[in-house]
Amino acid sequence: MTIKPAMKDAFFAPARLCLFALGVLLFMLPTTAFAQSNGNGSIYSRFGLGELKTLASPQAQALGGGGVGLRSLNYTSLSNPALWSDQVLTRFVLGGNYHETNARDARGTQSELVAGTLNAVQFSFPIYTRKLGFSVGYHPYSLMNYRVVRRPETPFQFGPAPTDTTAYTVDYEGRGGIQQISGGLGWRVSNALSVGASVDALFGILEEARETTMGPGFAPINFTDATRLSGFTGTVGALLTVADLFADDDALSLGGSLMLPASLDGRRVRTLGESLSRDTIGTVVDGSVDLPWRAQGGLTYKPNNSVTITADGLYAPWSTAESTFDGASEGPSQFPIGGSAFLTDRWRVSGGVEYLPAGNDPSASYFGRAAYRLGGYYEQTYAAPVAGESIDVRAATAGLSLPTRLSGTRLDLDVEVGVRGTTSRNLVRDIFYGVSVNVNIGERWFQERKLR
Amino acid sequence: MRRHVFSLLLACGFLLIALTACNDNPTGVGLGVGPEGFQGGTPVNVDLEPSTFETVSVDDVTENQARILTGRVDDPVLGTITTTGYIDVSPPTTLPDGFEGSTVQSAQLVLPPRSEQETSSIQPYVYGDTLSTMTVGIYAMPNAWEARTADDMPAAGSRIAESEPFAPGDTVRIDLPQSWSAFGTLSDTTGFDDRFHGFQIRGVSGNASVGFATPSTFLQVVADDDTVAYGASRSFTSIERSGGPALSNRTLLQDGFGRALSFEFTFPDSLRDTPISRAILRLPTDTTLFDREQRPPNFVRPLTSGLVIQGFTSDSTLVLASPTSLTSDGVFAFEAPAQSGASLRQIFQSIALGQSAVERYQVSLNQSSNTINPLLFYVPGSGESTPRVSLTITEPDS
Repeated sequence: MTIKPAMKDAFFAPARLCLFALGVLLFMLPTTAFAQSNGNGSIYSRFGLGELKTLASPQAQALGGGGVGLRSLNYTSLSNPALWSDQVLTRFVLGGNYHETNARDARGTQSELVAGTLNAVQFSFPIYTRKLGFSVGYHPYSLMNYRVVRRPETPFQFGPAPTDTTAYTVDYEGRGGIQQISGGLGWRVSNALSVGASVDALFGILEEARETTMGPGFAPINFTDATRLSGFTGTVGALLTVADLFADDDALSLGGSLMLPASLDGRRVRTLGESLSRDTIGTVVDGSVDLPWRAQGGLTYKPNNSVTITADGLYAPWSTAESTFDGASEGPSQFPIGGSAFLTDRWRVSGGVEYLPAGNDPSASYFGRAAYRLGGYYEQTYAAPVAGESIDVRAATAGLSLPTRLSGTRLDLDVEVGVRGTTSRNLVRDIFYGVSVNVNIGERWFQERKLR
Repeated sequence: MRRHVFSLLLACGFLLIALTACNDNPTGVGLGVGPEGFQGGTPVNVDLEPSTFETVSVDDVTENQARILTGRVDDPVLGTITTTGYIDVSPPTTLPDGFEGSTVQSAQLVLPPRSEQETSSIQPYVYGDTLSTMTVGIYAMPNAWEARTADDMPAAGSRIAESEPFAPGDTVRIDLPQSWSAFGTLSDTTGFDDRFHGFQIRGVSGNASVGFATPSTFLQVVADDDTVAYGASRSFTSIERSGGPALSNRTLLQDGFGRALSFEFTFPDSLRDTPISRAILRLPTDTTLFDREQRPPNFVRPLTSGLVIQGFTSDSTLVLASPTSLTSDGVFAFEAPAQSGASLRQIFQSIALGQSAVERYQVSLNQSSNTINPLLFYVPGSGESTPRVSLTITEPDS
C-alpha cells in the first residue's frame, strides 16, 4: 500500500505534534508535583482537600474564571462539556503559572511564599466539526500548599548544664493535591442547544508534614501524614444559545454544568523520615471522603464580534462533605483537618469583558487581532477556620491573547491580583498575585490538503 | 510553521522550570489558624533507666601477652588486690657453637617494665605506693599450663629465688641459684619446652602491683662463656581481690577480672512510634577514685579511660557506638556511631518503631595492655548519678 504525499503529510504532521505534545505532558507531570511542593502560600489550603482550583480556559481565566456559557472556536473550556461540541480545530493547551502570596497577620508579621505550578494540559478535537467534539484534560482539582514556621524564643534545654541548650524550629508544611483527568463529549443537538458529559477521575496525595530541626548532634524529625485518595465522578452540562436577540449579529449563551457528588476512597498513613527512607508508624487508616455536587451557571453576551461579556456563578454545598477517616473524633490528626465542621458551602461569582478589536477580520493588524480581557470574581471559599467567619476571596483578573502566525494558535498571558481572608480573629490575610502563560495550539488534523 | 509551534512549547516548558526554582520565606504567620492552630513538634527529654543492671563474666583482655603484673596492693577503696605473673621462656632456634649441653655458669631473669619495639610500645605500669620498695619471688612451674583464668593454673613449686628490693618502675634482675634443680640443664635445649614450664613471679613485700613488658622479658643463660637470651614464649596474670569496704550503690568494673556491665532497657509502650532526635547513654562513675585527696600519699590508681559498648540480639553481637572517654565529671557518654555501625539514636529509633531486636547491652573496658585499672559505676536508683539513656523525642500527637 502506498500513501499519497498529501495524505502522508496530513497524517504524519498531526502525529508528530501529538507525540511531541504527549512527551511534553509526560515531562510536565513530575514537574507539576515538584512545583507544588514549593507551596503557593495560602494557609487556608490546610482545610478540606486544599485550595479548590477553578480552571476553565485561558480565556475564561482572564474573565474571572467562569466561562460556563462562553462559546469560542479558539478555546475549549473545561467548565462545561457542552462547549466541546463547538470545535473546529484539533487543539492542545498547555499552561503554567507563577504565584506569589504575601500573608499578613494582625500584628503585621508577613510571610512570603512563591511557586510555579502547572495550570492544565488539554487535548481536544472535533469528531464532526461544530457538531460533536471530544476533549481530555488534566488539571489540578485542589492544591494543598502552605508553610508555617515556628521559631520559639526559649531554647530547648537538653541537658542538666545551663549551657545544654539549643535553638529549634518547627516547620509545618502542606503539599500535594487532588488531580483531575476529565474526558468526554459535547454534542450540538440543534443550533440553539448543546449538551455534554464527561467522566472525571480524581486522584492524588495530600501531605501534612512537620519537621523539627535542632542544633548539631540532633537528627531532624520529619513527620508526614499522607492521605492518598482516588475516585470517579461525572459532569454533565448544557448550553443554550440565542442569536440576534437584541441586534443583528449579537448572541446570548446560557450555560450550566453539574459535577456529581463523588466518594474518594483512600488510605491515610503516618510516616517518619524523608523521601524514600520513610518508616510507617502507627496504624494505616482506610477511609473515604464524600465530596458534594458542584453546580455552575454562566451567561455570555456578544453584542458583536469584538466584544464578549460574561457572568458566572458557582455553588457547592461543602458543609455536607463527610469523611470516615479515623481520628474523625477530634484533634489535629483528623482528616480533613477539623472535619466537616471546618468546612462551609462554597460559592463564587465572576464576570468579565473581552475586547477583540479586529473581530473576525483575519487581515487586521497584529494588535487588532489580539484580545484584551478584564474580569474579577468574588468567592466564599469552603474553608471555615473560625465559626461564623468565612474566608472570602476578592480578585481582579486581566489577560492578553496574542495571535500567532499559525491560524488558530494563540499565546495567552493572564494576571490575577487578589485578597484572601482577614486579619481579624487570629486569622491571616493573603495578598496574592499570579501570572500565567498558556500556549493554545489549534490545527486542522485528518484532513487532506486541497491545494499544494 | 511547525518550528513556531515547537518554539512556543519549549518556551512554555522553560518558563515552568524557571518558575519552580522560586524560594519561600516562610514565617510564623498563620500559626493560630485552624483547630488549635499548629501544635506539636516541640522536643522533650525522656530518661530511661535500665530495668536490669549487673556484671557478667567475659573473656578478658588480660589474656593478651603484652604485660604481666605482679605484687600486692592494699587499696583503701577497693581492698587488697593481689596480682601474680606467669612467664615461660624458650631458647632461640640458633645457638652459638658449643653452647648446647655445656656447663651453665649463670642464669638471670630480666624483667623490664617497658618495651619500645617497633610493633608495640608498653609503658611502665604501677598501681599502688610508688615510693615504697618491693621484692618479688620466683617460683618454678612444675607442670605445663595453658591458662585463660586463674583457676586453670597449676600450683607453683618451690621458691627459686627472690629479687633484691626495687622501686616500682625499675627493671628487675634476679639471679637464679645454682642450687635450683633445673639450673644445670638450662643449656640442654633439646626437649627444653617439654622439660621446663616457666616461672611464677609473686610479690613478696611492698604495696604495689607493677607491670613487666613480656616482649622484653628474657632469661639470660651463660654457658661455655657464651651468653644466650631465652625470650618469653607465653605469659599470664592472675588477679585476686579481697576485703575492702562495701560498695553500696556502686559496682566495680576492674580490668583483669573478666567482668563487664550488662543491662537491659524496657522500652515503654508510651514511646512506641516516637521519633528520636538524639540518644545518649550516660554511665556515671564514682569520682572518689580520681580524687587525689582521697588517696594515701604517693598512691597511684591508674584509671580506665575507655569503654566499648555492644548490643546483643538473639543471634548476633553488634558494636553499637564508638569507644568513649571519661568526662571530667566522671561520666561515660555513648552516642556516636561505631565505624561500621549505627548510632545509639538509630538503635533506639529502631526499637521505638518495633524493628530492632537488641535485647541486652554490654559495656566492657577498652584496654590494650594488662592492667588492674578500676572504675566504680553507679547502679540504678542512685538519684542524679543513675545510669540512663537520655532520649530527645518529639511526640507524634503533641
